[in-house]
Amino acid sequence: MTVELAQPEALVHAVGRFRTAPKDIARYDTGVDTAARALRATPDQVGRLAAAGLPHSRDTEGALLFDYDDLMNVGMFCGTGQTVPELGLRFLMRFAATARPSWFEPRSWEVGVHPARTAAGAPQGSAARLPEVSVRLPDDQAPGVELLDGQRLPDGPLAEGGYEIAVRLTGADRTVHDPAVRAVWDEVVNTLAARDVLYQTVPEALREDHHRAWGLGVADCVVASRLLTDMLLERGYQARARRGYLLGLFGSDHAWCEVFEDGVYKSLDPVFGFVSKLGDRTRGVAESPEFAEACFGGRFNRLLPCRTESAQPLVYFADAPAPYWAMAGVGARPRRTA
Amino acid sequence: MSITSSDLQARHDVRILGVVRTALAGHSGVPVEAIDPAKPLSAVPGIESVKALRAITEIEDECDVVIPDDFLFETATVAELAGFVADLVARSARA
Repeated sequence: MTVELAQPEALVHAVGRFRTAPKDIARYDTGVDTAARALRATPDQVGRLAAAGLPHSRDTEGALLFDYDDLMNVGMFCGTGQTVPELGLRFLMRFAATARPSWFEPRSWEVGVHPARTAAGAPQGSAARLPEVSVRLPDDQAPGVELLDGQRLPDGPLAEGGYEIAVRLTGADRTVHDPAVRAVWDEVVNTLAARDVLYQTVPEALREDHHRAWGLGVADCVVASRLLTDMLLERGYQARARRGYLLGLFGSDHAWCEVFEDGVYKSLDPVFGFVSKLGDRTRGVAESPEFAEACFGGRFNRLLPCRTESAQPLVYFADAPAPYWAMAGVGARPRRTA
Repeated sequence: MSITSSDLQARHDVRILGVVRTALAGHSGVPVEAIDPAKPLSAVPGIESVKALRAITEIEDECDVVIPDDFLFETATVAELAGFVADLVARSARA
């Protein structure tokens, strides 16, 4: 069932509030019906996006085709509070509003990663032949990550299909002491907070060139974390860009940076830091200066790192990074205790 | 301990139950009468995760509360959810 948005012009209001995918990156392969399902809108509402200036092409029969990441940004910036990207941000940041000890205390999870190979919102034609899926495995050697029930994971960064694990994540309440690291952190976070670089969905192909993305004025967690990592490496620090899953009601991948200090890697999460620093009332995200500060060195008990030190994608279809909607097959819930 | 509709009525929280049922009905595309307070949220006809989250946001915005994730992870009934929200509202009013 398609439910019309409360305000028929809501989607159109998003156009111009974000930066569309560069022409050499964009893939205009998402039809109106698929877009309407993804945005919880009517096909007519989606059609108005083209008239409002959202880049598009047409198929051989003249039907509109949009870039999927542009559509996700329409959802993020339309202000209804009901689209999938808006819900994602609202639910992902809810734990920032909980009591500080709950960010770090040991917490056991049951995690299932079985990426969707088709989904509502899937680009046209993808259902014709289901792709081969490979997934990035959790980094069970990382501090604070403990597999339960004697489970063991295969060697190597990737596995075919998917997996289910029970895992205990233990956070760490700490900070980074080096003022030079603080200066680099402030530069990235303050640039995001000032909207000089816009936090929005970034196509995976553009994430691969994170310096270009930053120069174009767009960033997401992957771009910001890779950039922060590069800045620290250039200054001689031991740093790496991590990527994994943020566990909660709304499963999603997430990326952050780590810097080596005092004999351990400490997490630097520029996107969580900037979002919680400012808050986002229109998307139901409360500001939390305490949580923002905890993003500078603290490790949270809801982040499951995977086996990558350069924030590489978590899911692949054949050899290409999977589209955003594949995350629909990722779920987690707290483990019940007897 | 389960919370029944009569418990809610005794606490004059029928309005909250109405908010909960209306939100669930609206986002799952069924009449309000189809939302049985005694059944789990997962048994609401046509509900799936994103629709459920939309309903939760509507309930939270309507009642000006935040429902903890840990409660939402549990298999609560519609009436239990309404009772929990009613308690949150009452606590918020006392604060």
